Amino acid sequence: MKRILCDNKNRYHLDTGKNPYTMLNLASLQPGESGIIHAIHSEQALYYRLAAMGFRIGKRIEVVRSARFAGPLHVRVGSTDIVLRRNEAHQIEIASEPA
Amino acid sequence: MKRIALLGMPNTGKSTFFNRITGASARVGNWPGVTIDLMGAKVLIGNEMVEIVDLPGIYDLHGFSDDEQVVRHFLENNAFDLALIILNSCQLDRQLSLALQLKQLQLPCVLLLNMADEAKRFGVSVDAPKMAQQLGMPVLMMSAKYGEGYKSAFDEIGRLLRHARPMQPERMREALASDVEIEHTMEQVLKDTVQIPPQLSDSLTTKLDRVMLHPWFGLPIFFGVMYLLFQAIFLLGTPLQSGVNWTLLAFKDAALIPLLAPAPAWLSGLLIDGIYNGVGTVAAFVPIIILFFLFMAIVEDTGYLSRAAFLMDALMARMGLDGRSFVMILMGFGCNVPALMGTRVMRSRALRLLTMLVIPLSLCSARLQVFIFITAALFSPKAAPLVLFSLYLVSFGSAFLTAILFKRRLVSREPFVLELPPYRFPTLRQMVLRGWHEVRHFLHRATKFIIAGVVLVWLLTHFPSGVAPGSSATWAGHIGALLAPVLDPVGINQQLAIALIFGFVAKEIVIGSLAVIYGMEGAALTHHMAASLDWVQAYSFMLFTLIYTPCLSTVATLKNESKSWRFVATSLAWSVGLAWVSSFAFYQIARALGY
Repeated sequence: MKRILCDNKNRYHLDTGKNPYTMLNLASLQPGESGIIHAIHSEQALYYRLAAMGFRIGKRIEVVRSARFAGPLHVRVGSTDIVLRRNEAHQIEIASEPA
Repeated sequence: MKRIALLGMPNTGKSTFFNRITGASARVGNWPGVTIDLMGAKVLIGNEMVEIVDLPGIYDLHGFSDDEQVVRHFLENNAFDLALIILNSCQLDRQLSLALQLKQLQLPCVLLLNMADEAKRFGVSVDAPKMAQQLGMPVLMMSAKYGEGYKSAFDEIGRLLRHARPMQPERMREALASDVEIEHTMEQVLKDTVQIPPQLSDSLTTKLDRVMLHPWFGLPIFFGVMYLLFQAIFLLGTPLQSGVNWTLLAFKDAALIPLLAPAPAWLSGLLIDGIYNGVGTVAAFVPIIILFFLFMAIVEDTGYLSRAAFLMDALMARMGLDGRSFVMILMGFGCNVPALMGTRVMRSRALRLLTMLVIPLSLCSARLQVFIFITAALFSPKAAPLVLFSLYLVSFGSAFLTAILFKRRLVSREPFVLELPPYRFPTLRQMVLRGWHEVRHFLHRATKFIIAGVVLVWLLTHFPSGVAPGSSATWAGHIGALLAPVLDPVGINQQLAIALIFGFVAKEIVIGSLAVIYGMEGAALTHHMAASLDWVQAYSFMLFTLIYTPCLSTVATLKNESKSWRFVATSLAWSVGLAWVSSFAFYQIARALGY
């Protein structure tokens, strides 16, 4: 059962209740690597925006490429290609798949 | 009259559908509760006229961006009979949430699944009747771009409208239920009705991106593409321009002058030397402007601009801006006004204001006309393109300088998240519609500003009566003398000063008024200008024109979007100051070097 949790800093988290695998954040994935979205630690407005773009807990996300000079990441979630900065990528927790 | 509201996420072809259903009849209008202009059009559906309103593309109704608030305020303050929700068939896995949010508000809805052509190509299949059953609203598949399924959608909308009862705004003002419920319903509906291949990949887009977004070559390729586009515009546009010039001159000599021969001298002077020459000089640029906007539209519609945002974001971040700001600057090369309105997608006020501060420095198509005109007159055919190119560099340079200087005052922590749509190529129909839109826009400006501007310039340069036209004894001469202490040090003479004053209203008037001030047009005017100005003066004038202030419409838009006179004043003072300092530095250094 998915629940939205709100912490004391008014940030929203989705709790899947699953056992965590090795936890990474999206920014630590290399181009070509993929993982499963485990949690999104963003402020409310960004959380809704990401959800509307297809970032949902349990969905697979792939890093397609990253821009030079610490530029943004190009990621793919389901049917959608999205560009986001590393700063935002840090807020997305990824469960890397069990090998 | 019945009213339809058009809703949808960005990149779903909502505007394509709107253009298809309204033809080219759309008009910008004001709406209660909404401070900005929305596109609306009246269309005959079945046997009654229906008003269709195109709302901004939004991701969801909870959003906090200005666009999303515009939609909420519209829905809360305007009665309507039917909400048309347009979603991209290929992205139903996430977009269906918007339809469910709207359904929850108990709006009379129709769901249009657009881009049926792409869905077919990607192997996405939708069971529309079953989805309609589960959602409790009609679901129609179509391709707004190619028109497939459009006819039946149109008929269905007409049928539904006959039975629709208007949705009153009061009922809209109710709270939205939790998202968790929507998510659950969405999963259920998707599972039952939509089949999406596990790996949805457009191999053409993937291949193109591998080149266009290449880590090292991506940016050089981008600037190369832009350069080629400009070359193509001039290659195609210049012959058209001389064609229009020739036709206008022939018409004047063959018909206008003999026709007006019996009229009093002042009237034929006003009509021919004032209005006809002035507007004609501007009109000759219309083919180039149409081509320019066509090419911009193609680049925009292909999805390449979002790629530019990806490539440029790292650099823009260092200037306190983001990749979207860069796209807005590029859009500003067409016209600053829509670029300023485009900043509404930014939530952080600081980022929005900083972006709005740099956009007016974009070398827009109206200023381009002035520069083409002057470079053609004062520089050799070989040097002219380089001079033009240098002005684009100055435009970027001054924008970046402005951002760097103001970024400390306007600091934002706005997240940067942007969708990359697959590459698409617009159809001929879309391009023709866009071109027509630009012609109409020009005619609108022509009637509103340019005629009034050139008439005023004519009056100023021909009165008081009895003095030599354009001389220092005219009213224009007095104004020029008044400004001389400020403009002499930057090499701008009295005739050019008058053109600059009217350029504040609209840049098209600058060349129109030059035609009126010198009392010539076409080749005669360029020859005369080449004889009376040197290149240092001309370049200084162009620098000033580029930077000082875009036009009255831009100033009005700055006010509307920022809602702050202080910001508008800052923007104006900064750009006029920067213009003067740049021109002064250039002119004095060039003269000191002996040019």
